[in-house]
Amino acid sequence: MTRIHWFGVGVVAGVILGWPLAVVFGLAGLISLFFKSKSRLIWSLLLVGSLLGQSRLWQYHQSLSAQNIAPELNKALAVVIAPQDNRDGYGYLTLRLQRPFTGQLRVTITPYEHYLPGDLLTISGASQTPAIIDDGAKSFDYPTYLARFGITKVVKRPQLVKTGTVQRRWLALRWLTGFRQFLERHINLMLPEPEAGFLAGLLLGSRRALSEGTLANLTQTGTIHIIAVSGANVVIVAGICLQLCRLVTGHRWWSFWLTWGVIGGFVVLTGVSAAAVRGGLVASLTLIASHTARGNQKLPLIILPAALTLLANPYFKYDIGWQFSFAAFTGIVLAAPVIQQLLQRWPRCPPLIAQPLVETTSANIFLTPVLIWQLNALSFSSFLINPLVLWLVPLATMAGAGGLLAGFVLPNTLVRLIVWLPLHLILQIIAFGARLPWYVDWSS
Amino acid sequence: MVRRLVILIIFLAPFLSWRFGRPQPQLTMFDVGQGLSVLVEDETGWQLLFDGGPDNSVLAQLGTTLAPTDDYIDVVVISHQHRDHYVGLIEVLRRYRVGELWLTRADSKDPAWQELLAVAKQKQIPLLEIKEGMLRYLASGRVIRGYHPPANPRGDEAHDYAVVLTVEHLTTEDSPLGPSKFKTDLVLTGDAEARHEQYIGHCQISRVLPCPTTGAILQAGHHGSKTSTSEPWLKLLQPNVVLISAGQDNSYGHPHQEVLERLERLKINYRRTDLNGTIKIPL
Repeated sequence: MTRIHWFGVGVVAGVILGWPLAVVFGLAGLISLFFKSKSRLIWSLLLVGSLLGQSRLWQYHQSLSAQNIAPELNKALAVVIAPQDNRDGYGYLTLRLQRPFTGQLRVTITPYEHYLPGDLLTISGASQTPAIIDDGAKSFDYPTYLARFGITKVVKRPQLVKTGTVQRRWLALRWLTGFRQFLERHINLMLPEPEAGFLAGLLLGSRRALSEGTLANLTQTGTIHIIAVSGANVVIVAGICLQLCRLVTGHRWWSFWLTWGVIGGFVVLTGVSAAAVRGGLVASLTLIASHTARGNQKLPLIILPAALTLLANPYFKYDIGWQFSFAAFTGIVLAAPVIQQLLQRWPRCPPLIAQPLVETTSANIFLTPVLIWQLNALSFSSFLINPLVLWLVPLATMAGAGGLLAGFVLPNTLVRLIVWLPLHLILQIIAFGARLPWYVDWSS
Repeated sequence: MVRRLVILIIFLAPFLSWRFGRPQPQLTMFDVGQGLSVLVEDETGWQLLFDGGPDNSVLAQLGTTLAPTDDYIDVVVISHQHRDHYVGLIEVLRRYRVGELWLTRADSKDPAWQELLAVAKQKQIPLLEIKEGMLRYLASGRVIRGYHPPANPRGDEAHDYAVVLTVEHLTTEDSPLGPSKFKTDLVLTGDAEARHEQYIGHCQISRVLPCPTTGAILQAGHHGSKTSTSEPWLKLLQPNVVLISAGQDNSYGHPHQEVLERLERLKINYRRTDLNGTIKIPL
């Protein structure tokens, strides 16, 4: 662990655990001064890091409370700043209000209205402060969920009118949203459901196309992480890209920069979710490490992306995708070597099974506490189903990505079948796992 | 990678042979919650999708019922302009190649309906207006016959334009109501109510249209509501089985107890999507 890593640990701990931890670090640092301990530098770094994390959290709170949104909006000017999210029979838009107001809104519309980032609109309607949703069985902290996106107010069924102009600063996101929609449309034409929705989840991190049944199966078997774009997905894409670039350009530096560009594009394409950003940073650091011959250093890959993502948006700590992604990756880095050693005592285990078994078991060890804490549920079948499906995931991802390209040249029926096959098998295994009585849910 | 693919194909071979087998004439009533969606397939693989339910859940149902390479549906029917019957079809029209779209009227200002028409227009799907007396002969020898709506419906509500279709096949048997060339296999009623059932029942007097023969599969009107599946209608059709499409614990209380009691009193078997899930019956 270098100084920057201790500092990173301080930032992560400061954002997640808050002021009491800073006090603990401070006291430990003070005590270490009296004992001339070598650890005083570490305590100082932890203290400064945690103070920085706390300051960032405080500053984020301030920026939320400084928003100025009138309770009744009458033809207020606003710009669409995120792709429209259609699900459950509704459309959701994120708007940023223009002068004289400041702040961001979540607007509920019908899924049959279509807007893109950058669209300038006038909005009329009553703005409300979001409330915690509690249906008796489960409670959902909607205000905190929205605060993650910098949103403090919601407007249901407002009157929206396009002014006909598009703000230039959103043009790149607008283009990427259009490209993502094009890919989603192409996937939907290429495959039937539920395979289409599953492939959209694998490639684009899109969950909205999945049916309730498929989502329930994924949750019950502890395989939901497959469709949440995380470090694994980004690393798969980055790996394919790096190999292709080296083949085509034959130049090390060109391949490096091109792959980095693809990682960035992929993270934006998948909706800049907390897990995707963290995954993008992991992939970038892996790329740098492999380029600078420091490929064996894994610990920075846990700490630095976590610290950087939390500094960028401290409310990522509430994001279940970020938590899953962070826990699973930490498990793979810390627990996998131990399990690998244990598995070596079983020499007959074929590598095709051994690697996914090691990765999923180690990821699950760290994921389980998060699952229990967040979902009040525990899936024992995840230890069986994950090794069964994970070896198929890269195959399905590559077949899907290849099918998207090949669909333009090869007969649709052939492409459809080749892409459908691994996806279907994964879903069948997951459906089988969901039928096993190995899922404990005590939330209701 | 190649080895993985080979293992995969060997593993799936028996399953694939089943999924790509010869088409079977059958009816599938999808469990789409509180709505309706029925897929009818004949011996030649001709397919008719009657309504699409209230949301996109019909897509997963179609995906698991049709062969994975099948992206063509011959006919999509919209029984009437209520959202629980057609919203799922918007995405069906987008994703599948559809031969024809059958409907009764196209004048709703509902944005969902407008979206559906826009997709149909964009994909250049021919629209066909269903009316009483419409006939479509299929290559398998089966016939689709329209019983409702009449040319001039009595009311102006969506249900007054509800489509009632039958699927029939050629037979030499006689019906109790007189000689018939066709035997009714299936009666699809959408949300048709008792007054519409009564109107179709006039076939016994007017003889403009032949009455549906007995012993068919009947889709209970309006999700098993007490306003449909009337006793005279059941006595006219004497169905072999009645299928009810309703959502689990729906707020309307469908299917209503009166209808279930009526069916039990007349000793007619029934099945419900809210209890049995998706229902498959050979035609």
